Amino acid sequence: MSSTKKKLLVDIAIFIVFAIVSAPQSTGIAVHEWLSFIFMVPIITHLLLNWKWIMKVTTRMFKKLPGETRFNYIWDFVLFIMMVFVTVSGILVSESALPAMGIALVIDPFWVTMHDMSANLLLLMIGIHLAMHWTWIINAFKKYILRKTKTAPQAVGGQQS
Amino acid sequence: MNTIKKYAWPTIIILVASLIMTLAILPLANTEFADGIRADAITEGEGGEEEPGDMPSAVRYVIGFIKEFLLMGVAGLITYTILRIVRHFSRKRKKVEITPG
Repeated sequence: MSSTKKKLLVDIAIFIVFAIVSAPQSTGIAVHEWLSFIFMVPIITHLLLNWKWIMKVTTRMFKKLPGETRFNYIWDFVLFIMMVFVTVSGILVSESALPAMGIALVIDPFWVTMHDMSANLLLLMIGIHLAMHWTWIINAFKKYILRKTKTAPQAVGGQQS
Repeated sequence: MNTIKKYAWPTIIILVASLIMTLAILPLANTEFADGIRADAITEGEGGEEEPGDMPSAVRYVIGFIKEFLLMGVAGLITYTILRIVRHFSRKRKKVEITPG
């Protein structure tokens, strides 16, 4: 499987889980909390699959670099910080997952407010992140999802690169 | 085995970075800013917050996803428009730089 296809599949999984996790009003607190723990796995996988790019840009950060790449790098770093913030504040206000594990925390209204605010901000930031990579998303989707669907009968037995 | 070796260090770096950030975030609860938010939360609680109990469950179910769609969609749309404008002008500028005279 090509690395682009791997990235696309992981990204689709992240998007679906993120969409469910980000709507606790719809799914309920228990689903929201347990799925948030699982969500860490595809996020780390996403970072690992893009590790080469992260390292490449890190070493060239103070050299000549296209503005868009520099913006993406800084934005992704801030996004990572925000994701950690949302996760930590979420753990601190856990009403279902932690008590189920036998850890009962006194819920601080400060962390409740911080979790709500940072989660809303994270949604905006993810929107910007998606827009910055929209061309890649569309191209990869066309190449690996739409083309595969169209050519599915012929592709039987063959291996996709 | 090779995959584990390849990703072991990056995974450790990601986890250590997350841990450092977590340790930096936790002391925020002891700041004056946190006290202010707690005081506001208590005042709001005394004021009697409206419960969304009257809302039909179907509407409540959809509202979470609509909020998500709006926040991501609006931010994404604005960014994409700006990005296209920036790309358009940077391409034009490059053409001007390449064209002699």
